[in-house]
Amino acid sequence: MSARALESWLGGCGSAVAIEQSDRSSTYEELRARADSIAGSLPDVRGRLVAVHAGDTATFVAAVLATLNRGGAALPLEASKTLPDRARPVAVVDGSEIHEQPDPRALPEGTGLVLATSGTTAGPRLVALSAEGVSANVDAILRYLPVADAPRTGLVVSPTYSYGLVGQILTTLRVGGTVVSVGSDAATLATRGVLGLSSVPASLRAIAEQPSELRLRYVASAGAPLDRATIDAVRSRFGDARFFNQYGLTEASPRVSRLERSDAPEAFDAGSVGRAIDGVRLTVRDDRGATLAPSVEGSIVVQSPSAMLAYLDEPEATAAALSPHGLVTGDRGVLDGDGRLHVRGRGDDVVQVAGVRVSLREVGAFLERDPAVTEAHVVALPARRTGSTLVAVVACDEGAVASLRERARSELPAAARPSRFVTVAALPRTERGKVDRAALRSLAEGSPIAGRGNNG
Amino acid sequence: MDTRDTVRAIVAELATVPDDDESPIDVESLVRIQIIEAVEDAFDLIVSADDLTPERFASVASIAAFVEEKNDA
Repeated sequence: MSARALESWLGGCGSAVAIEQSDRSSTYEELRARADSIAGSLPDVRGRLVAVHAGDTATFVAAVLATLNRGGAALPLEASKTLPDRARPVAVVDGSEIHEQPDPRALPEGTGLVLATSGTTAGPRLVALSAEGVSANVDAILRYLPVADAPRTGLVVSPTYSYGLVGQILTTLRVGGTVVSVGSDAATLATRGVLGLSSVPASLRAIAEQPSELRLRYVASAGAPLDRATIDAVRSRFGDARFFNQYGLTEASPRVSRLERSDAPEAFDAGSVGRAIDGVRLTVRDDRGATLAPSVEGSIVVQSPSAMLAYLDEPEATAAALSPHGLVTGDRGVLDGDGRLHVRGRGDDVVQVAGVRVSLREVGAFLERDPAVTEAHVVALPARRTGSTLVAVVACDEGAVASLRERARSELPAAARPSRFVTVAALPRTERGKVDRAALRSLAEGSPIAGRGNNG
Repeated sequence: MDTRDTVRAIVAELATVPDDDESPIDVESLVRIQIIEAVEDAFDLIVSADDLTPERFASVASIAAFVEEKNDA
């Protein structure tokens, strides 16, 4: 069992501030003392799961580190969320309270973190990650992201996600920096002297568009495709900041690749997520697992020391994801001639309309190129004769639909044209800032069919 | 809305509607299938293989005539 000493996670010392919150700060010394105290109160957690509620950021981080230090695995939980059925932890840590639980489950050897991912239909998946893999990912992130040069990180995504916990909290703490957990208001981040910011595109854009005195040294995006409007907003507001686009997934602990804009501005603006980070190998493969030539779209497969150990209690899904060639991400993409990855969407992004393969994401991107459109997302609904029919959910004025329809008709092949358009003020999004696919689907399903109900 | 208006609205979502209801709707075969499907949904009817002659789905007028014939049957 790979118990890791606190010192391997905490690079700062003494009175340096580790975590700054609205009402108080915790120094590295205090964080260590709190982790030691929680570790002393935990039952035997070796090889077991400890569920940790994310109420107070400093207590949450201390409990996660205490669990790792004792050879257990931490399951971060939103304060409001209930425990997933299959979690069966040995203890639940909620603030200063530790509740021991009966009948704890076993975990794969070496598990250090178990993260819930939003399942598509059947509830959350529990992704078991090794402590060593998480630690390796922290080091690999620190080799490109200038956290050490901008050691005040604004934490604006949830600390329970791999992006927040590994990508920000653990990286910042390892270099002795300060995690600033004060919300996502630009003026507040400015007042607190935040120097580095990582978030999802929608949140980066919102922060860039708020007036503030915020002076960032780096901005990093991940978690969703980085769109042109966000790139423009970030560049015009934080022109001096180093700007990174990144690709990753919870199952890879999470970081897989990155691109800094100054290295390849054209590829960056085209949405590329760049080359694999240190220690990771990226390939694009066909359905049989053979590697594909540059520019040919296929399944993105990742060989990484940080690849997950398993989906808990889902042997079939685990076997499908952990192929002999590496972790099958479920995303589709292409490597360009310079070996940089362009993600084309989830595997389920590609649908067939009357036998023709159509990428929903490409149709959405086409619609977003219209100046009247701020955002667009295309949903495929089942159709009797053609297999799928496309419904575009578009953030634009109702009045812009007619010309959008005309443009689709003149510029897109028939199979790629949305047959219906639904206008919204903004696309529905989840707490993570990702497009809410379930909500989009119900919008699409509820969209009126021409003539429906008018034929008496 | 009479049948022709409804048909025109359906076609307008998928293709350019000719000025004249009798003029042929100029579309690819896939779009013609989508128009048929939309007509089925809007009027709650099933277009059988026998019904699928090129003339029937050629124009707004011919589609409307087909729908009325089906509804009267």
